[in-house]
Amino acid sequence: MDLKGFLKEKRPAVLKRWLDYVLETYPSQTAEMLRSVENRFTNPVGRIISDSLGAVYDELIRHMGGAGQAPEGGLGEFLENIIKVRAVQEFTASGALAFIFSLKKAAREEAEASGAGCGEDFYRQMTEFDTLVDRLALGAFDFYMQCREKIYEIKAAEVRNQTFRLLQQANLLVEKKEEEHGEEHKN
Amino acid sequence: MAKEPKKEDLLQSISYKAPKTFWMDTPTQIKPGMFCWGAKAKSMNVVGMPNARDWNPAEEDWKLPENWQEILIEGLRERLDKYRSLRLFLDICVRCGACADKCHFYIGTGDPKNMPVVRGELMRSVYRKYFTTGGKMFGKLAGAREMDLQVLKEWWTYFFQCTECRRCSVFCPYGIDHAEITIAGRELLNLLGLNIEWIQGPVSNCFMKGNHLGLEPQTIVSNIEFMVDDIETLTGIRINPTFNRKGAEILFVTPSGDLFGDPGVYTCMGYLMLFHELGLDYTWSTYASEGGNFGFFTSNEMAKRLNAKIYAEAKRLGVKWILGGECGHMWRLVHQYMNTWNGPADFLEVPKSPITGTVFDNARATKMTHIIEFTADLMKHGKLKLDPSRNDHLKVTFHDSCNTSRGMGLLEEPRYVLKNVCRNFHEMPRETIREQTFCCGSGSGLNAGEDMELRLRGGLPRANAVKYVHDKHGVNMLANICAIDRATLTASMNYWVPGVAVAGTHELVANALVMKGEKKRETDLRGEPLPLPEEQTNVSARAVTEKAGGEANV
Amino acid sequence: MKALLPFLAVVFLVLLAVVGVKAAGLYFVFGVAVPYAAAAVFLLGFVYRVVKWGKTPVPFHIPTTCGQQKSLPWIKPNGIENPSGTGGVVARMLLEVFLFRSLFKNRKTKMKGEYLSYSWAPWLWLGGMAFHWSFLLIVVRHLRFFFQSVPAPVQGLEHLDSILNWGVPALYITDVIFLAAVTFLFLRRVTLSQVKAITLPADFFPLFLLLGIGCSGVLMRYLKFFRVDVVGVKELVMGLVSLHPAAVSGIGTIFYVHLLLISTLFAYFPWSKLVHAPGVFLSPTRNLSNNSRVVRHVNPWNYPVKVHTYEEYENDFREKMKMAGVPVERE
Repeated sequence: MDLKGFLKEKRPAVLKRWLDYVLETYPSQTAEMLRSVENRFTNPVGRIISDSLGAVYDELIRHMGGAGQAPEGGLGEFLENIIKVRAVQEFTASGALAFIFSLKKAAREEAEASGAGCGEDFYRQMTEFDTLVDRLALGAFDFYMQCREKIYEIKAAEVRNQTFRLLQQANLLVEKKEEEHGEEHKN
Repeated sequence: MAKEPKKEDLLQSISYKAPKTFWMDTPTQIKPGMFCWGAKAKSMNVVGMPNARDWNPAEEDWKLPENWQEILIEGLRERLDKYRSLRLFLDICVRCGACADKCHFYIGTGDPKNMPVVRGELMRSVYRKYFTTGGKMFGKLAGAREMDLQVLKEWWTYFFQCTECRRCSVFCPYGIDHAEITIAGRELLNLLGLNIEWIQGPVSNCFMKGNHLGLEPQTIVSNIEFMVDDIETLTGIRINPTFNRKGAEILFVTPSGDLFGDPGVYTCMGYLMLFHELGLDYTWSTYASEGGNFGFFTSNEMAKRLNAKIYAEAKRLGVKWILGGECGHMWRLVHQYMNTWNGPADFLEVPKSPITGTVFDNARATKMTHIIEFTADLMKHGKLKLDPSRNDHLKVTFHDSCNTSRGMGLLEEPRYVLKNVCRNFHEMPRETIREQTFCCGSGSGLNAGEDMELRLRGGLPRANAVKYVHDKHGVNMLANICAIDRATLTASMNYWVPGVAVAGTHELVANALVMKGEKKRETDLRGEPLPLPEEQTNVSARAVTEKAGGEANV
Repeated sequence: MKALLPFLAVVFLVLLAVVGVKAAGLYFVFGVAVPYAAAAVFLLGFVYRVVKWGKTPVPFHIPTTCGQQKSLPWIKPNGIENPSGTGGVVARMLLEVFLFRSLFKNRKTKMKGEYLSYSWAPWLWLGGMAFHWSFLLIVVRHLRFFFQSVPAPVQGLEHLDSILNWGVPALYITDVIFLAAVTFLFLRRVTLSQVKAITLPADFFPLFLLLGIGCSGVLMRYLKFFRVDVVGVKELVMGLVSLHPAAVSGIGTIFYVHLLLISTLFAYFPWSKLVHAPGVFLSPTRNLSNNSRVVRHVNPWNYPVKVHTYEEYENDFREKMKMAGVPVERE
């Protein structure tokens, strides 16, 4: 079996290992809470984390073998939801993104556990897989930076909004409209 | 968050696994992004707060008075004798856990100390140590602990990570309201000069100048003049509001955030347009120019000191009754506290709408009516000419403010008003609205800039429900009746659900309000072009079918 | 770990009763003195607690409103979740006390495919209801020991409770529910992560006591080996309630275990979280009607505070006000 087939077949097991690594980055009681409730509204953080990991995983597999090319703009966008959450949690930049690399570990451990990790071809495929994960991490890093920038932008906007009238009276608000339109294009 | 890692830490920081300890044994860290700056000596002195000095919560030394433990324990003793709520809630919690996952801060941070029950235990553990026999005898075994510096910092951290939203008290089988614990906790912290500047600054402003922003009378007037100019551009109608006018029938009080901030100003323009259209005999006041009350987030006494201006000004101006604008905590106080603090308001008359003749019997004693009640009554009597198609470019949902829903029960009135002025209205899921509404994440004076990560995390449960209706129904406008919501949900939406704007309900009312003698409107209050007629017909057909489904689809 | 000490404490109590009665023959101590002492501690403590709460003022009118307020005549108010008068408050309190209305609300939303479905998370509510109601019925059933001739309602309850007619003596349904519910309440404290995180030793102690009480009672009734002299029990209890106590021997040791655990529970009650029973009636977020804009709520310790008067304000800003065309009191 090739690695792609293996990862497809072992999706639940690898994902579980990966999720465990992600949750390990939280304090234990927090992790238990994130793990325990499967509920979009009362446990949005937990839900976002597990949903995102699944989506990213599927996307990665889709790009393996054959064409093997990551889509335009990298894989980062699939991580947006989870990065958005981690960007406001108490992580350093490295801490917020380290979890991506633990997918490599999760995949290897599962391969080892099920005795699939042998053969030169497997090694080659694993390297390809690693490259995809690295690319994912780079995309995630871009998005993480966007999130952090957004936070500072929000802080600045809030100060501006609080004194909206004052600025308006002083005719200092010209650039605001332009910025808003710019943002609309982005979204 | 966002703390620069030291180079030598980088390699060690790979493991983020935290030790598995009981909350009481887990030391509290004061983390950047999760706390607000300490109150400044200058602001504390204006209102005579104890231990006024400049201090920094991130530093080890908080410059506490030498006998701080004594002050705190005596303060607690005093409050135990003054508030049945506090004594009872400290005594009767059984730690069943029903409240645990009801708090937006717990949901958003996952920090066990943000479970309401544990926030209560922070104080309860100290209460046991100093005020119960079991706690004195068995100590930690009975869940009791000494009030030491570590515990103090824990109190400070978590009593300023609670927005006093009272969602926990809805689900508690004994109605334990952790806002009462937080309120008492903050009062005690204030005895040591441990307020945050984001609260203390507005408090001192409000005391001296009448409003949180510290707007002086001439600034208030010129701000409103400015809105009047904008309204004239939009409608061709010139409005002439009055200030501090004796003999007016009604005194209008609203949070000052709406005089200055975006998008609050549009709500304020909405009031101006509505009152003008009605020909209401009302006046603004530059002295009682604040509906909100950050004093409430400091101490009961401070809240009373700031609130006193409203009745005092009503009396001085000789108005008949008071009309209050859209605000959350302002209305909890007007509804549940004001008359107790500063009443009886026997110099006023029971509010009566001069337009419909409706007597607001539900405000018989306080003599103060909520503008949403007032407007709903106008609409019910058909006194307003409305063109809801002017809001057809908006798909609206409504965020119940914590205070007006759980401290008042103002649930149907805003929905009635919104459904009269918008044709696309979609509710968020049932357990995120009405009495179960999620806080914006920044209430009770936590809407500062430096704690943005905390706010965004606390705002996630609300944002998540908005995202659901945004994805499902294309909702692009989050209506509310709270000035803090208008400011803070804007930030939260910007981060979590881009594409959803935030508006006060009376902004949408004013969009739809057809005024006598107005010119053809080309834009809404924000200057966005109004939808074209052919779009309107499509949208309205859809709106009708959706409305027929009503709340069934939420 | 947090469960160990409370567990050992209950084991110690059990051994204490066994040794005290079986080995030392202290029938009077365990049959009379301890129950009287416990009853006294309970009564005094209970009254002390309730009086202490009652004497503490309710300065502000702070009901938690969970429904539509009474405002305009054409908007239907929710008279129970947001009561505007005494009737509504009574209804709200009754629902809270007898049916645990607030716990019942515990709902969780789940995604079923693309759609939302509301599933209700009733387990805590169910466990709480099962425990409190079965406990109450068991206490009522025990009244047979307190009356010379058993009152008809108690007999009726006994009959209903044993309606399954299983075994000899017939199995009481409440016994099963009680033990199951207490076990459930214990298990959620050691398994559910959130509940585990908030549990203190003081939460385990009453659970172990109740389990001990339930088990000793069940053993006494259903197991031949432990069967006790019911006539003797009634004699002892009647002596206690008629204030003519007399030690009765030959009842069976396990009865004294049962009695000591019950005595402990009673004595412990007023000093622990168990006071939630009377406390719920005094909870100001539940027992007040939402009428604070209609009737002025008086705070008994309201005191004058320093305010910034209009006069002071005008003195600060008079010129600026005049410039802006705002009327002033003194030119």
